[in-house]
Amino acid sequence: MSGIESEPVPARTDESLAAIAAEVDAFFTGIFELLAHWQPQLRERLTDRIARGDLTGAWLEELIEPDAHAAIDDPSLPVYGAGFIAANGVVSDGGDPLAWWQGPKKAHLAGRGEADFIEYRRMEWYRIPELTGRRHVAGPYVDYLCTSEINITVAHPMVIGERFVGVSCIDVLVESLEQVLLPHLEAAARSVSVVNPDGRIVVSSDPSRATGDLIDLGQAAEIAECAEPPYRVVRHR
Amino acid sequence: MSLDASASEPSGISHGGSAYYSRMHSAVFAPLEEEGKAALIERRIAHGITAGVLRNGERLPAENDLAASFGVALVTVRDALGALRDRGLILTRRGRGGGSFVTVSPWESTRANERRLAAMPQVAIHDLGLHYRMVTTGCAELAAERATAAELQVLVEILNAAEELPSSEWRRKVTDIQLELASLSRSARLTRLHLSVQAEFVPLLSLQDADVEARRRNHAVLRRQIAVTEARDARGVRGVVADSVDFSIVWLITRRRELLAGDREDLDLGTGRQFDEWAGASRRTE
Repeated sequence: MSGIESEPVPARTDESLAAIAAEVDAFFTGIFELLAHWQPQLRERLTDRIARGDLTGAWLEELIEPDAHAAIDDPSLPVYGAGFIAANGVVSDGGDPLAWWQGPKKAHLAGRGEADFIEYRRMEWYRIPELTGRRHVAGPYVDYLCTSEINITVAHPMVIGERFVGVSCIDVLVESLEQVLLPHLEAAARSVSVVNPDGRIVVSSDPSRATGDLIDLGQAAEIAECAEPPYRVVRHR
Repeated sequence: MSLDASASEPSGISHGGSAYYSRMHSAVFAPLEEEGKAALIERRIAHGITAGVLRNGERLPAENDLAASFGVALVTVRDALGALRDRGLILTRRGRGGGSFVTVSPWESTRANERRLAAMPQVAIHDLGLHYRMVTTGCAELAAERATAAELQVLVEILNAAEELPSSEWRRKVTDIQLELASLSRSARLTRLHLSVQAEFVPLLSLQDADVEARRRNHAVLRRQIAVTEARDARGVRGVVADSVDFSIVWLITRRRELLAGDREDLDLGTGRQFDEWAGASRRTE
């Protein structure tokens, strides 16, 4: 590069880290809005059914399906999977507490009985919203239960009164997130990574850094904070 | 999930360049596996049952849901369920509250797994074990670089809570923990490979669970694997996992020899009960 400094080099915009952070925020705002849009009606219908004590697996599936399908079909957002996972004991008939659809064909995930879901409930996308009562972006992790790919899950808790009754979730494959974010990262002059709060790389423009790698934030040359999730955009030394 | 690692690849690679390429060339056009989709589904579910993932009395998802999740036609699912019914692994009830239910007790699963072990050539047991070892050590190394303490802490809690459970429950928890550990590699491909080879190997591994010493050892190894992963010791964790799989392979080969020697009745009595009695006794002495 330095050898051709007298020549006009094609402009390579050095997109500031803050601008990249704004792109990350814009992406997640779209997902958050989608989830928030589901909540009022979901709350109303769930409240009613829980009060009557006859919330069945089949009813839950019927309730969630239209929103989940619409999310996957939404051309403006790369949603891979969507649905709702009910908390322990919310589904009254031993039916399926997982109402989940995924993939371009919107395949319904064949679930199992209530008893088998206890283990699902230790997953980050369930555990953290249950603990904090706030929405959470989990991952990137290998989702061997649903996508069989590496993805992130955006989870929005449903709390009725004092009771946590489940989470609405949206899965986004890392490969889709990469399509959205990588062009912005590549516009920066040097290697830049988007990193989750664990210091784990989500997407990077550094060819030697992979999604899933943990990095030492202390080694970063520059960091910009995203609003939500608390991701960071990191310029490497 | 749909990964089939048993594809028809060349079994050996010659060192001569042209021979190598002609092998690769014929592999490209090798016949597709003859085994149909129904048989594949049958095998998956059968392994799920004998591994204890699907429990006695558990209802399988509805036929339509199975067809959707396997990505096959309804008739294919029906063929597979029919075959499982013929083998006595499931029972189908019609009408309200109907569906297909697992009808195999842990004891019957053990018998089925013993028959499978006895029927396997020793060389195939070794090869399955080595396949499992390479996948698990590979995952474990990556997990040592990529797992966080919080992720591992969740697994420690599940493992501790599982220590005194009856054999089949203990094996389910351990299988879950092993899969979760593999996924902490953050490699989707390796995790899928792990799931696929694990489905084949766990029914055999579970035969160890009635052996008090083997189960204690396997439990301790898993605890150690998590600790070494947390210490970020990639080489160390490789050793822990490899030793443990090698131990299991030796155990299985030895067991196969006993089974073929024909002392069946004695073995049947012990299976699935010894550990539970031991656990009960050890609780009483506390």
